[in-house]
Amino acid sequence: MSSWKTLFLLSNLFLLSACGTLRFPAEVSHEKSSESIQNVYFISEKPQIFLFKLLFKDNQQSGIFVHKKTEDNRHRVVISSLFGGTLLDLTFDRENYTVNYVVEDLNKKFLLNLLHRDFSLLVNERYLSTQKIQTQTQTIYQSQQNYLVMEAGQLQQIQLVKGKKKKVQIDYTSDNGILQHATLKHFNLPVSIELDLKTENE
Amino acid sequence: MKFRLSVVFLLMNLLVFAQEKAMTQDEISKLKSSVNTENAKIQTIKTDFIQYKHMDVLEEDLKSEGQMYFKTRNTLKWSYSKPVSYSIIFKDNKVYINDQGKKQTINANQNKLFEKLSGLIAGSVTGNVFNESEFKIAYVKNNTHYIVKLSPKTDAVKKYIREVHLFFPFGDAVVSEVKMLEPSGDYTKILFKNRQLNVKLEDAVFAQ
Repeated sequence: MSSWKTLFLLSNLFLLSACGTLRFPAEVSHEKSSESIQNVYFISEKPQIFLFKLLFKDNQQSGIFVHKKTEDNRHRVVISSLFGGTLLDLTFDRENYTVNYVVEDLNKKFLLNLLHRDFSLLVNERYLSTQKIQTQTQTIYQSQQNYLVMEAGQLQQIQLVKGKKKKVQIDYTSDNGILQHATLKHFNLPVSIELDLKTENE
Repeated sequence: MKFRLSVVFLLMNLLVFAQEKAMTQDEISKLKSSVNTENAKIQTIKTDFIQYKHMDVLEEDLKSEGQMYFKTRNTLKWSYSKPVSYSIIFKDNKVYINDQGKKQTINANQNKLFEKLSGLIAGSVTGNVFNESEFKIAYVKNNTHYIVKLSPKTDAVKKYIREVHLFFPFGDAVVSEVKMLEPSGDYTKILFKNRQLNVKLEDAVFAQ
C-alpha cells in the first residue's frame, strides 16, 4: 500500500521529460474521412480479467484488472492487488467517472483524473475520424487528439497527441479479435501500464 | 404438494446448516485456552493455500494458489505460484516483495500501519489474535467451525480491513480458513491445506 502511495506522490511532481514526437512511416495517401472506427476489444458485456502491472521508474506493482462494460459507452474497471485487497473501482464514460471505491492512498484527484483518461482511452468503443492516412502497411485514422493505427483490419495502436507531441501510446496485441496484451505508456510521466489476458489455467 | 414440502424442508436444512449461532462462554474459554496452548507449541507452519477473491463485479471468485511459511515470532512468507509468481515476506520489521522477479523492500518499522497489518496477518495464520485492545471480537459457530470475528479498533487499519473471520474446525485449535472483508464490500477467503506444524524451515525459505 505504501508503495502505491510513493508511486503517486512522486507522479504528482509532474516531472516533465521530453514528450514523444509524432512520427508515422511514409504516407502513401492522406485524405479527409468521416468513418466510424471501433475498438472491439472492450465491447463484450462479459467481464474480462487481466493480469495488471504498473511500472513507475524502478518500482513495479502487480495486480488484477477487471473490465466490465455496464452499458453503451459506459465501463467499470476494478483493480485489486495480488494479495487480495481491492484498490480501485471506477465506473466511467468518456466525460465523467464515478468512484465506487478507492483506497485512501490512491484517493487523489490528479491521480483519479489521470487513470480515468488512461482507462477511457484504453476501452473507448467508438471514434469518429476526420483524417485518414494510408501507409504501405497501416491505415491511420485521426479522431480529434487521437490517432488510431490499424493493420490488417485490427486496431494495433492508439496515440493521444497534443500539438505535435505524443502524450500517451497504447499498443494492443490480439488473437482472433480477442485482446491478449496491452501496454499503455506515458511520454510525459515515467509511468506505464501492462495488461495480460488471464487464461483459465492461471 | 409432497414435492413442494420436500423443497421447503431442504431449504430449511440448508439455512440451518449455514446459520451462525453465538458461542457460549464455556466454548469461548475452551477455544481460547486450546488455541493459546497450541500456539505455545508452534515453532513453524508450512502449508499450501487456495485464495478466493470475491469481487462484486465478477460472478465467479478469482482463484490464486501458493504456499505459506511461518516461523515464530512473526516471520511470515506468502508465496503465490498462480496466477503469477509473487511473494511477500514479513521479517525483522521489514516487508520484502518479489513481484515476478522484481524485488522491493519496505521498512515496516517506520510504518506503524504495516507493523499492525503484518501482525494481524501472522496472527490470522496461527490464531493468536485474542487481543481485545486491538479488536472488537465476536465468537460464533456454525455446524462445522468455531468462527472468531475480529473488527479492528484502529482507524488506520479499518481503512483497509473491515473484519477478519478466523475459522477453527471443531476439535482443532489451528486456523483452517481466513476471510478478510474489505471496506469496499469485496472479500478474500483463504483456505489452508496440507498443513505441517513444526517442520524444519531453512532460513533460505525467508530470503528474498
